[in-house]
Amino acid sequence: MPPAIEIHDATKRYGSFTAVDRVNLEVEQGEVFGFLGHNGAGKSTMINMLLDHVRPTTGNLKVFGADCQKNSVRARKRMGVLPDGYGVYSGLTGRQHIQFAMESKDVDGDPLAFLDRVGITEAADRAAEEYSKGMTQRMVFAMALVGEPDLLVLDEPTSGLDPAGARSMRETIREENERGATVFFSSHILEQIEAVADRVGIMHQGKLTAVDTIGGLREMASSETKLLISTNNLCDSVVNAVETVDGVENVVHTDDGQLAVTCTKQVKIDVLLTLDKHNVTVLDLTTEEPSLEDLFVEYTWRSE
Amino acid sequence: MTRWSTIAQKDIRGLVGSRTGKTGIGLVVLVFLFSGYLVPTTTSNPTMTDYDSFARGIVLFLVPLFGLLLGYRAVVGERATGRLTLTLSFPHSRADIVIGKFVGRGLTLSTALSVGILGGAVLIEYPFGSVTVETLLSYLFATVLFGLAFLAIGIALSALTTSLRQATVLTFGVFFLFVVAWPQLTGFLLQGLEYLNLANNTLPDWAVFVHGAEPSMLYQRVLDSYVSPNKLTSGAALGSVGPWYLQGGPAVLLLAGWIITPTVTGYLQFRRTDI
Repeated sequence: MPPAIEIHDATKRYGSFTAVDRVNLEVEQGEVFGFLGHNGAGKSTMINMLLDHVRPTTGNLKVFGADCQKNSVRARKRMGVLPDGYGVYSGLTGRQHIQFAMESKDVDGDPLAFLDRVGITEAADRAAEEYSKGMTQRMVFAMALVGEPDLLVLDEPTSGLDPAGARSMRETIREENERGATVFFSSHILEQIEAVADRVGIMHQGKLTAVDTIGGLREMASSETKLLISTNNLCDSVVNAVETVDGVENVVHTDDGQLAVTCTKQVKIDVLLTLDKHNVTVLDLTTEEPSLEDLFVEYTWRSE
Repeated sequence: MTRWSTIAQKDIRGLVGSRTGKTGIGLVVLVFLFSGYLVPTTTSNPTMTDYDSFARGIVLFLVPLFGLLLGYRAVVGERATGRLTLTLSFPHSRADIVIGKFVGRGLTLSTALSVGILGGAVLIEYPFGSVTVETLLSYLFATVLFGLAFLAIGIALSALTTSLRQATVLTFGVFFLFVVAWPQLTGFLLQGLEYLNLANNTLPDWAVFVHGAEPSMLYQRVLDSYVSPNKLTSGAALGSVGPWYLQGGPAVLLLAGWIITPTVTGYLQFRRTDI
């Protein structure tokens, strides 16, 4: 069973600008993979290379074993795609858009069933050009669902949707995944990814900087903690003593007598014991745990 | 159903569904009908030959315009608006796009021209004229071929360019060069060749061939051969006295070449580019 997506050393350069830089990635069948990054990080270029809208400068990409460039039509036969920067066909209604998708994928049936799934049945016979942004996004999502694709590729799927629309789309994504579809979707919003993805890849300046499960990332995020300790009798020797505790990364003595200690979770108590040993009275103690958001920010800013 | 026919079908639906599409198609049909209505008022016992000589001037202008306008946005317009992104998210190849667009728009153009010409022929035939099936079909076939050649040029331009502005400028340039300027170049060509000592008072046959290889000149040659053989309008190119390569038959083939060559060139370039 080949992986749903295999990306080997993919690079895309535009002149001197490198949009995607030597990306390697494998997505197993049945996974929901979230692709996280700021606007302009190279997510859409990656997806466009999967669709053969953009040709990689070097490297190769495969979908279910089919080369995305040499065998593009075969690769796209198994995909359902919600691309970025699409336009709808002028003069065609929503129903006719779905019909086009069904004819393109050799699917018989009632187009209304697909519009029903995304909740825009009542607009079926209106020209799609007159749809609102959210309705258009739902219609194209419905087009992507046509033919029970083995791989759903969704580029910023919730953009233009209101919160309720975004939630119902997430539910549909989950249903599709339960049916057996692999899902590959990009977003610049962490919550979107957190809510549905099994695994996350963080893309930054064309590079894939981290790939892990949500759990793994969260563990990484929460393994560090920040202690804010208020005291009344602090001296430099104590600060030095705290710094030497195993697992402490960083100690800052702030102007208002507070001690800010960044350390791993397990040594919180050691820090407090050290203070006690030096007869420091702890007046107040708060802890700050970095969220996934902080981790994301750290991953996407540190290389700048 | 093949992939390109899906594209063709959607294209036709879109063309017929849009107001500008409907207006353009209607206008072309009307011009042909109106010519058929006018000819019997000036000629007794009109034939297709009379219809041809009456309509020739406007057809030489209108059909290339119709073909180019139908074609020049076909691919680049879709690219600029992101529709190409949507279409190519489905299992269609770049060839499907070009073929589908050509077939869809070609059918639209052929249908419009056929309806107009057949309607015009009916108005000629009834009540006093006489239309032979042979000349009618020759006229229809030649005119459709002529329209398809400019459609193919338009689609090629739309596949070669990456912005609508580029495509518009080039289309305007092609229209001006082929339709307006080219047929008037005979004098310049003769002077140039005389200067080079390659001609003496009349264009040599090979020069007539080269100059006449442009679509609207070819179209005229085809009409002069099969529809209006008694009207010698394009000089040395005509008549069975001329060399074989200046006859109507090779002109038909060359006109067909103007359909195939631009389409293939456009496709080859389109296949190479990112969207």
